[in-house]
Amino acid sequence: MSRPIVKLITAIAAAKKAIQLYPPAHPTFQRAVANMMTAANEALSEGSFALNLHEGRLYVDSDVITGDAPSVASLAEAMGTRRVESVVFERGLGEQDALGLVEVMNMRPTPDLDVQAQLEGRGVTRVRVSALTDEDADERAERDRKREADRATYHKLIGTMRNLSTKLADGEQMDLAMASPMVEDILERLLEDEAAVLGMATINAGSEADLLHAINVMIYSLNLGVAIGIPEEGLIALGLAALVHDIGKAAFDRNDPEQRRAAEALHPTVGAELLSRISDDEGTTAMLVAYEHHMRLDGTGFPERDDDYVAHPYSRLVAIANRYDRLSKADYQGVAQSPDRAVRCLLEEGGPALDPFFTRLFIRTLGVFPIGCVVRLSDHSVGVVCARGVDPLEPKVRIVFGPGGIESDTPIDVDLAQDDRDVVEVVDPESVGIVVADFL
Amino acid sequence: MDANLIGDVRAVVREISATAKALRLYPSTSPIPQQSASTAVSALAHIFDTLPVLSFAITKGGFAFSGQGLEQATASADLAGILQQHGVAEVSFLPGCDAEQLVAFLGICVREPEDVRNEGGMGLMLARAGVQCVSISDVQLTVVDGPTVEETDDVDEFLRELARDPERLATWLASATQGDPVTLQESLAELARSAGSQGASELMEALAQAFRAQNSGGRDALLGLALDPGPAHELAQGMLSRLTSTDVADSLCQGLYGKNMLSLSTAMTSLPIGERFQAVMAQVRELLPEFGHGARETEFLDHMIEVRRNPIPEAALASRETSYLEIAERATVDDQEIASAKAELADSDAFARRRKVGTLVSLLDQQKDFRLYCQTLDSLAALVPRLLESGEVALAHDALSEIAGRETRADLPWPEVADRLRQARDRATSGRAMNHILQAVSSGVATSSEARDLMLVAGDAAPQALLEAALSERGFDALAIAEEILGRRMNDLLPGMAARAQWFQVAGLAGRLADQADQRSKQALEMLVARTDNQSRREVAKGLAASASPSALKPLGTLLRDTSAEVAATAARALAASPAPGAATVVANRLAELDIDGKDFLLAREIIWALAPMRDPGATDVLEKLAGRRSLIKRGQFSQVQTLAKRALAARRSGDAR
Repeated sequence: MSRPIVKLITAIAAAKKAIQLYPPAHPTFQRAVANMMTAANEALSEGSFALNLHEGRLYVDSDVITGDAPSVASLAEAMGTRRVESVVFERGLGEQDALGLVEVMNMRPTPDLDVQAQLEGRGVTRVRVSALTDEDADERAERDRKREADRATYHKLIGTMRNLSTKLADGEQMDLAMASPMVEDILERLLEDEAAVLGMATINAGSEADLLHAINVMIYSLNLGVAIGIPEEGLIALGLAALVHDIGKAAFDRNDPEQRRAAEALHPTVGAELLSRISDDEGTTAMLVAYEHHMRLDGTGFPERDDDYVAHPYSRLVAIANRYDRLSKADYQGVAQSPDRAVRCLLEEGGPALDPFFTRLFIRTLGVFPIGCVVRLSDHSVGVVCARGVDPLEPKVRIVFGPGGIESDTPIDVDLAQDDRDVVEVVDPESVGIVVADFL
Repeated sequence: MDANLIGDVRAVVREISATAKALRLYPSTSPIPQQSASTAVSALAHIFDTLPVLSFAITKGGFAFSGQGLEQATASADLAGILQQHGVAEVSFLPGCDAEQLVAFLGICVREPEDVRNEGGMGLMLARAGVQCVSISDVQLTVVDGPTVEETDDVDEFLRELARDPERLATWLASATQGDPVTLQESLAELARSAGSQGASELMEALAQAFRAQNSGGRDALLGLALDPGPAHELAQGMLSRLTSTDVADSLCQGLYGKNMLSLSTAMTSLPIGERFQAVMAQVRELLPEFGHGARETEFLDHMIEVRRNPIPEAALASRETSYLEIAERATVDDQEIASAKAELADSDAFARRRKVGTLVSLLDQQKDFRLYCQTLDSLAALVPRLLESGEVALAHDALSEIAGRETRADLPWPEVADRLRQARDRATSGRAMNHILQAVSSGVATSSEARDLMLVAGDAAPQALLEAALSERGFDALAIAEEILGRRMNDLLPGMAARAQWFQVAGLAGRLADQADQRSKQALEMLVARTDNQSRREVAKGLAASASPSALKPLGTLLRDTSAEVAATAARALAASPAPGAATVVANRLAELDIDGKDFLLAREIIWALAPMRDPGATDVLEKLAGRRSLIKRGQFSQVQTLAKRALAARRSGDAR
């Protein structure tokens, strides 16, 4: 059986080349198609058969094709790149079937190429293919769908924050409850898919830097709160407090340089005053966090206080999240630290300025190469850290660019703990022109 | 005119011309013209983002767009020539033009002009073919001889001709580079074999020319062959050597490899350009900003080129920079630390409330503006009920003390501030706050001593508010707690409540007033009994039932005579439950007044049943008298009354009635 099949495979390879090189009226074209039909019908003399692909090798039904002709390997590769698991040849194969099959095999193997549909479109009835199951496709589609939903929540939060700031600027009463459901959504997603939510926090500021900063600080604070094991009710209060920690700035005209300076110094006091009017526990926590988030552990920072003053634990958590976001996002000079450098700075500041235990825990939750960090591996492939690894130096990486630098159509997750490759460089996302959040 | 638009228009002309060319060589059903047409349609679709319609004038040497001649490649000049032969002066493409319509239009174009005219002209043929998105305007009819395409049966000769003719090669490549890269590679290798060593140079030259005629995707495919060590590598290398540095740099930057610096560095280090590297690199540097790549990317390109050229494998970052390992080691936490953090956080709500009082007081003293001072004061006052709700009576006391302390301070710059402080204290200790105090003491989270201390700094109306809250409370003996907190002041306050108490507050009030039994209380009780609404009077009766004071009996007797049967019945039940001595006498007196066998039977029945469980021993005598009545003429309900009294007596004796 194997010999006629190898002959057919060789004829297919020849036909692929011929129909690309010659016009249909050319004898070589016609001869190649005729040869292919002859080979096919010879192979079909004992009945229909299927060419199956398994782990890079071709089988006829369940017998491996032993021929070592380059055309066998070439067909196996062609089937693999087109995600074809098997090709079934049926008796009565005609010219249209032969030509159609070769034309489709000559098409560029793009991710959206549907080989069976292309065959049907060409009127091929005696050749059928079944596609390799892409087990990760559903997961990817679901991830994409949820990413869109996350973005919607994120933008809704930006809208809510904008609304809150405008109301404050107009002297209206604040209503933290309007942000509460969105904080709950973010928290739910954080518990479900940490990478997706931390990925959102990597979105760069642009024109609404303050609003995005507020949301990012909320995300990092919640992540730390979850790591400590704060119960859900407390996490919502923490999230809301983090979200409005800088709300005092809304009371100033930031376009006026003098007011901008005043805002920097006075926003904790002004924010606390504004939030003190909310009488529930969430308002109380938010007020304290707004008041205390610039108080450093060593007594420096502001506002001034007694020597033995100890800030509320939520204020100490938010102070860390606030500092990390400030370090990892572009400052007024457009300079941002890479996430790994920001982590290093934070650890150095932990102790004299920031709560040392919370700082260590924060870094442990983010990792040495934090989620969202763009890394180059030893084979030059580049990806985005998408999860912590068992070893903090070996995170899980979503490979975006292959070793040659071509962007993958379907990014693959690699656990560096189980891979020969190492992180050799942390890359600035701008250097490779990607938006990190698009890949988490 | 926008240079980008002109560039896009040129791309459309190039793709349409390539499709026309392909149609002259291959039948319309062949994948080659079909693929060309798809590319052309994509280019058209891109134009339609900007323009509603794309029109070209046919000029002597080619196409013109908006009065501006377009630089013509040979293929487009050919197409323009063909259209002129058909007498077409202008051709317009409309949105919706798909590959099928384009192929149909060009299929008509490549037919003999005479045949087209014989079949009614191009316009009619387009309409017959269902082409709605391509329209033409004819101005002239000129008969010319069309070119003929000859095919040879000699296989090698066909390929050799293809290898020699840059234009044919370009047309073929336009389609082949869009297909399977492996087949392209094999086909080019086949072409090289056909050309042989003698024709190799000519093929490479033709390929270089064809390369220039390709779109970006086609060039990427050919550059890919030069990067791949496959069967067409040598040919691609030869092609590359015949291209200028500008050609190479431009193609790289425009295409797939120029999309990011990782792939561009791969191309720069892997393309066989040898000594021309510096020249190509200089061109690339110049072009990168035009393609939207900034300085940071260019810097990264240099870095990656250096990295890729370095033959020594890179060591892991963590082994080169020990700080990563240090961070990993330092960022560890143990369970004990987590547990103590959790313990601290468990108390965080209470901590926050405690801290909020201090912070608000601190903010209050920092205020220089009266409006802001009042706002902060209001926030502090609003905090008090919240603190009381959570049982933090001592903390609420601190907050109130801070407010009260400022009422007497003379250093505040606003004359009206004392009033505002007093009002704030009143608001802080309103009814809701007082209810929270009662709950806190009742549940044991606070002591009555703490509550007493708080009442000393509470607003003037607070004791009354506390009393009102206590009277409204049904779940526990709130009046007893109120008494613990207020002490003797409560006795003074209670009579005054009679006039303002709501119906649901009067039961407790009536009982307390009966117990106090002083003159003011008696008057207050009379006021309650005289209330006009039945609901209040019923509540008074219920409240008096609990009082052991004889003072409760007089108002109960009054209520037993109430015009409302419901109130009277409630009074009867209250008397039944009353621990006050003499309750039976009150009932007996009332029974004596009633026509118990006649019209007052229903009330009498209620009273007789009330006697059964009555604490007062006198009730037995009353029932015995009723049960033992004798009469020759048994009027009305006489027998029922007697039977009822006997049953009540039996129940009383057996103890079942209680």
